[in-house]
Amino acid sequence: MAEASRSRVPLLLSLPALLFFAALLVTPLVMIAVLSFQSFDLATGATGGATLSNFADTLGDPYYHTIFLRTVGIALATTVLCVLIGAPEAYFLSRMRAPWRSIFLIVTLSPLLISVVVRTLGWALLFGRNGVINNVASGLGLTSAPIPMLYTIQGVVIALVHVAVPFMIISVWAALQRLDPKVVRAAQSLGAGETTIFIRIILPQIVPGILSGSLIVFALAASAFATPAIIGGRQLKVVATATYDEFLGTLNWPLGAAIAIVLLIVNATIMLTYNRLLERRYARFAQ
Amino acid sequence: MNRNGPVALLCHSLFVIFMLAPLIVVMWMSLTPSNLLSLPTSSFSLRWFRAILANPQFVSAFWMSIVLGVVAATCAMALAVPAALALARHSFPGREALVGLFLSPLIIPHVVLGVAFLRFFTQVNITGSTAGLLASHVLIIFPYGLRLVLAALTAADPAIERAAISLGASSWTVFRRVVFPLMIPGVAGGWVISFIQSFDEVTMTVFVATPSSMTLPVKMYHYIEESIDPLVASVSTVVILLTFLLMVLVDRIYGLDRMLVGKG
Amino acid sequence: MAKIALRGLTKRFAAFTALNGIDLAIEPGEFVGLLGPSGCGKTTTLNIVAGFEEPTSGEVLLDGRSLRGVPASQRGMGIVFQSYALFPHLTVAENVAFGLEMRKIAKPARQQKVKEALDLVRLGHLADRYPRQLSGGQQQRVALARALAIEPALLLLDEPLSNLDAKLREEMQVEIRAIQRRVGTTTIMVTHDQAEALATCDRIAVMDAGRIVQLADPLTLYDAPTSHFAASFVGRSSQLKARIASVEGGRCSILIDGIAATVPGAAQPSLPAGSAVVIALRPEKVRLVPPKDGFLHGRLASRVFQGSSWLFSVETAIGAVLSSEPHRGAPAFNEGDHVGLNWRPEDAALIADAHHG
Repeated sequence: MAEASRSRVPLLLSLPALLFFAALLVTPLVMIAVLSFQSFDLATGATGGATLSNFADTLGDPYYHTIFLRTVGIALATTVLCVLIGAPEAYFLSRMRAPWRSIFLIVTLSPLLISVVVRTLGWALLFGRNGVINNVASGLGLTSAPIPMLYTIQGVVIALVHVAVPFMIISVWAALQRLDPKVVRAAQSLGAGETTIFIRIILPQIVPGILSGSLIVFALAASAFATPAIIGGRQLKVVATATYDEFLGTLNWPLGAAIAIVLLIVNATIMLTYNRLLERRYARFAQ
Repeated sequence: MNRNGPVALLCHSLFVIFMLAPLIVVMWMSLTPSNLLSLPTSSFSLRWFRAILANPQFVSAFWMSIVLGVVAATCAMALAVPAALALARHSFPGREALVGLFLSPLIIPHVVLGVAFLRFFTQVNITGSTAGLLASHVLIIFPYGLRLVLAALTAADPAIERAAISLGASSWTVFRRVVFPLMIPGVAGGWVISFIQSFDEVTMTVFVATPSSMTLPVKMYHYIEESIDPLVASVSTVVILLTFLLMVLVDRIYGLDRMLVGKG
Repeated sequence: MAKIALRGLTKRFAAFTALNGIDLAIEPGEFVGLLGPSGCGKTTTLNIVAGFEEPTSGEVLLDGRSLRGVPASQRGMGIVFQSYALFPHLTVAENVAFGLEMRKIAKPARQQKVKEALDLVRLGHLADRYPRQLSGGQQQRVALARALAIEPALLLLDEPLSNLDAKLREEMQVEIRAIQRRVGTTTIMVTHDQAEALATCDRIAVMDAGRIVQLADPLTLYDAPTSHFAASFVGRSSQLKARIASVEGGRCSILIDGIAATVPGAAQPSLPAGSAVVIALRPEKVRLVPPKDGFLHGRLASRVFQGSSWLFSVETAIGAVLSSEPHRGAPAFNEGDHVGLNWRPEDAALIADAHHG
């Protein structure tokens, strides 16, 4: 009796959240999946029936090809930059002395808590033709004509790096914290110099952190909306902004749903395979 | 030995400038006395802050976001605390799957959630309702609160509960006197981080917010789409300052670095 | 010439002095232990020898040459860390090979040396495993092989056995001692475990509050501690306040405070008649006898069976005295009995009493 009632306790405690998730997460996702198979008519909107034409459009149309490729390209570039910037920064932070360490950890990570719209606005102010960067550059006589940054892919990537790099730092930081500080001394006693220690001892042990950070950054950049919409403008569409336009612009919901489903599947596939690879490669020594 | 060289410090300084530059530019721009987007150098003015008060759309969107954040964070914690107790204190079949489900809003692209909610609310005919907006926010902020409460509960030594039982405490007393005090920092920290996530959310909300249920980030996004002027910089400055205040609050009750990087 | 010599080593931090003038010379092939409680400065000493910390003053001489300014990576010391500090991303063989690679030793010679080092610690069959797949004792041996593979000038062991369970720890004490004898590397071991130090070291430096209070071989340290601290930190002893009454030949007679009992002890030339002393008595050297045969007498307060031996505590007028005897059946005395205490004069260690000098 006691056993039975005890085993009901966790169910009762998690039931409200479980019901809520069933209603508000599972149902809408199923609905959007169903919608993506429906055909679309300009006059009547979504109609019943099952068709693969939305997926054929999404995956076959050169227009959407460009959008998907652009999205992946932006996400990859953002990821590479976040690795190159975030991993060394996490290492520098971990080597700082007591008060500075927490101070700069907070300084570099807290932009995470500020709205993406606000941060992107900051980049728009910096990037514009008459923006801060161009004004300073021409004021110093560095440039004769304004450098285009707003409405360019480079601009979108830079702003996305700003949004995503804290996640890379958190991930690498966590890997650095798991390191036994004595291994550095052990390597020193065996004759290794600073550079050798970083390349042969530290780096291999934080690779799992870098990889899981890359995963988060890539997923975030591939599905980003506000940053590419504001910095990229109407011309540089990405998957998220294209979905938005289908839903709230041309009102072709089934097509928008198909784009969203493709995004979800691509995202989930990358995450799962990547995780599998990570586990296989690093399970031997990862904590 | 354990210090950064000059090259490392230079890279670090550039990085800090990179992280803070957009925020500083926004705050600086909001102090301009002019109608143009130019950084003020000689004279500063608060006219664009007064201009916010003259714009009822921003004011109502601001209050909408505040009320939505408070109610959504409270609802999310009301669901997350019992769930965290179940997950942290019991092992049962399907536990791992349940954790996966509860944390999944973190890895599903918000744009996908946005279209899914839009479709769902249209089907059940509650488009544009505040209730729908609230429910969608509760869902996406739920994992943030859950993680902090779980962390607070799993950090505590399970033996202290047994110690309390051995000293004669009933289950209810154990919860009230031992478990609950231990999870208060996690619950409070989780509430604030949930509020911040709700207050900041734009990608999903842009699909489900209508003129009658407009949050501040969505309002700002639509405004920026049309034109960028010093007014939106001053609104952004208010958001930055409010977020800063909340960060101080989190730091007091939970530890900001602990929340940002997990146990550190 | 000493293999390694510490000269007036002092380390001060802002608020306290960690080391206060350490002098120590270690002969080639010797196994020396630094023994003391936490905070006594033993780990700081080891870190200075290894090159991880700089002394405030004083210096370390290796083969007569000062190590001042030589970085840890150039000192060629083999170190076994308390946490082992194995490289988790490298296999056992790669861990052992690391130091050889740093010395740019060609691959065939390197593989040969790795094999030798692993055979030395009897782990040749686990060369391709990762550290996580090994038990604590095995990890410990890999750490030892890694340190020895570079044929270090000096082997430094930092609490090497403290993470092992009691039985394994005793086995490893024997094994480490045997391996060190075989390779002949001069060794310094830091430990807080007096039994471990007694079992493995040629000489032991007992440290307290940043100083070496006694440096002696294990037997001398145990039988003739020269300070109150050494007597109480190494082994168990009863300590009684006394005063030397007279010195005659090799013996002196001691007047124990408060009572007029006069007991014999071995004389120390440095202690004239009248000086205040502490006599330290090891329990196994004190015999329980009928009251009339004892130097001291008192009431048997407790009698504890410890498996191989019995431990008695006797309440005397001047404090509790411990006595132990091997287990050979039920002892002759029961708790509450009035008993006498007896010992051979040379078994009482006389320590000058600093507080009542």
